[in-house]
Amino acid sequence: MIIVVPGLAVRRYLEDAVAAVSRRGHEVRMPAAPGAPGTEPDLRRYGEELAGTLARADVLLAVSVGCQAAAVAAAAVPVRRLVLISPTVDPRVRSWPALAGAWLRGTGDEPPRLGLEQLPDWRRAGARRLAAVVRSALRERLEDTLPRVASPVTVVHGEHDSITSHAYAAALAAAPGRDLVVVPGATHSWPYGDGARFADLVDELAR
Amino acid sequence: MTPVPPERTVASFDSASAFLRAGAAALRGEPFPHLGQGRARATAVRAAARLPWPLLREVYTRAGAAEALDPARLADVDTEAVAGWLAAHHPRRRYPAVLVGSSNGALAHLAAAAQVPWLPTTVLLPVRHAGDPDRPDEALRFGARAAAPLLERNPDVVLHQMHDQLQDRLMVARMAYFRLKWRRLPGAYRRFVERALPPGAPVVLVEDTSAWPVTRVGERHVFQAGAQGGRDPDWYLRRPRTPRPDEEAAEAEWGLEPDLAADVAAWCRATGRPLVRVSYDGPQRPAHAVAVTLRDWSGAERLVVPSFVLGDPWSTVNAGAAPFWTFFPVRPALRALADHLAAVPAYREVDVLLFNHGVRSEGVAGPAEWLDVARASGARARLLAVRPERFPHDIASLARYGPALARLPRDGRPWSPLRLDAALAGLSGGPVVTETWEPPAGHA
Repeated sequence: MIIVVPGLAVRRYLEDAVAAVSRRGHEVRMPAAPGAPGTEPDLRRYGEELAGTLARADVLLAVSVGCQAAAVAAAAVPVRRLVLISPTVDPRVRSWPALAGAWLRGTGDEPPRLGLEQLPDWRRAGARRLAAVVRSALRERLEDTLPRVASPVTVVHGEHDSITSHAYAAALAAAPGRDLVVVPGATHSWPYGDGARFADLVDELAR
Repeated sequence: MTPVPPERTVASFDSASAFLRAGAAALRGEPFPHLGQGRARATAVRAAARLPWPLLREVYTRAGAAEALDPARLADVDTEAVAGWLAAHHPRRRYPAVLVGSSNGALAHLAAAAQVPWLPTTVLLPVRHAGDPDRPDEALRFGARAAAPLLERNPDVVLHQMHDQLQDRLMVARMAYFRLKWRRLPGAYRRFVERALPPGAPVVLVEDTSAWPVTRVGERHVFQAGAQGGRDPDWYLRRPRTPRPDEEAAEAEWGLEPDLAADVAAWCRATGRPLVRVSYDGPQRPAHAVAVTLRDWSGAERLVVPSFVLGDPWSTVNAGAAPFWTFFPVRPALRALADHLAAVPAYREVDVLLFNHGVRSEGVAGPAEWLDVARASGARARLLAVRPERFPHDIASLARYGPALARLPRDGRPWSPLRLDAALAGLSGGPVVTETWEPPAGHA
């Protein structure tokens, strides 16, 4: 089973990419995003709850702040592989203003339709829950959690990710049993709008 | 006196500076346009390039000369601080290896693909000195007078003063080229290696064994007339007013100081650090093996031909292209490209960059010759960032190559850094020799 953990209270924008993976014959499950109504907005607690649903044969694939929760889960329950796409939060932007600035700078590079896809999910979550997820993301240090993960880890970095730097992604991947994948031209929201390339990568990683 | 800041000590237009900054940019996942200078400077270069050549030559020469250090400040140069500043260019993380040693553009591309840092062991310190380019004897006398305080303050370096009135003609009229070579691994490099390498990860010593006849000026000071390029040492030595050589030494720009090789080997043994020595004779040698290795790794159908400092390892690697670096736009480099193209299956595209050094010097190979060689292989060939009618005066190519490489068509395939073992295996054989020393089992 491939489990896809979405980012900040948004799930809908990933559905096409997940469907592309599913069409390749993979069994895929995408739980509700951290901070979505009915879920835990604290990434640590979200990860601990997620751990209870994992099996050793699973590939756990997470996006953006979902990576922080997924690492907590994989530290508790080893999986076949942990895949961290656009992992957050780079220490370079580990404050409210810096993170907001990086996000705003990146919006110009993102596909124009992305905001339309994400807005309804964010509206449903509400400002208070979104803020709770971000507070938790600023607190939860992925680089401290990863050493407790025994599973192989792949860090996937989009070349034009404005929030996560290449240097941070590469530093996360710099340990035995971990590797880095660079996606040319991709932004922080990858794999949004790029289902085929995403499915190719998942095929390779799930092999 | 206050020490000279490291960034004022080292020339930004030098190959070691360019490869260091291009390599560090690649480790940050960033392109390296206009030699890492700001956008404003790149715009100024593009604007100045519209000037007629006699005026542009003056601007180009003055810009280079502005980097030269007042000889009265040589006693305030601190090469240990320079080493610390060079090492600090690299992002802090664990690396699978660190390259240390000779400057080489092909290996800079290999390092970018493998995401490993390279620490230069030769840097160029330009020293203000107005002189006749055709009077190397005067340049030597100036160096002999000026260098003592520098060498006294910095016991870990040797000075290879270089005077190339052919390829650096415009610059040697306004500055003396002091190339400083470390003979012991600087403390800052040792600390960098200790911090950046996990146990068992090797130091890779890059050892260009190029030598050149030199005149000994002092115990740690030699003078080199001419440099690797379109002409051999004899051509320079036959010229009038050229000091007679009395021995051979490591070539000023590319060669590795033999004492340094011994010091690095001793340090690795003492600390139980694996050492890989990558040796070759001349800067052009590794280009073929690097191109083949990176083509195998990426499946490239496009060959990019960087020229001296004109190149961007990150943009080239990230576009899925293979690089065949040429050390200067001269005939020996052109022959090496022809040999490479004859030895491998044809590329679909070949993109040629040409460094413009402002002088139609002997041995230089022009745009048409490069295109002919590339096309003879069956590839579609074009010049990138260079206006052929302006060669070798097209200084604006320095501002154009970055955007041109960033616009390369990409295959878009996600990629993982080249594994170190694959990189080293690819280099081995042919003119590049690799030799590995592993600490004995149980070494603490």
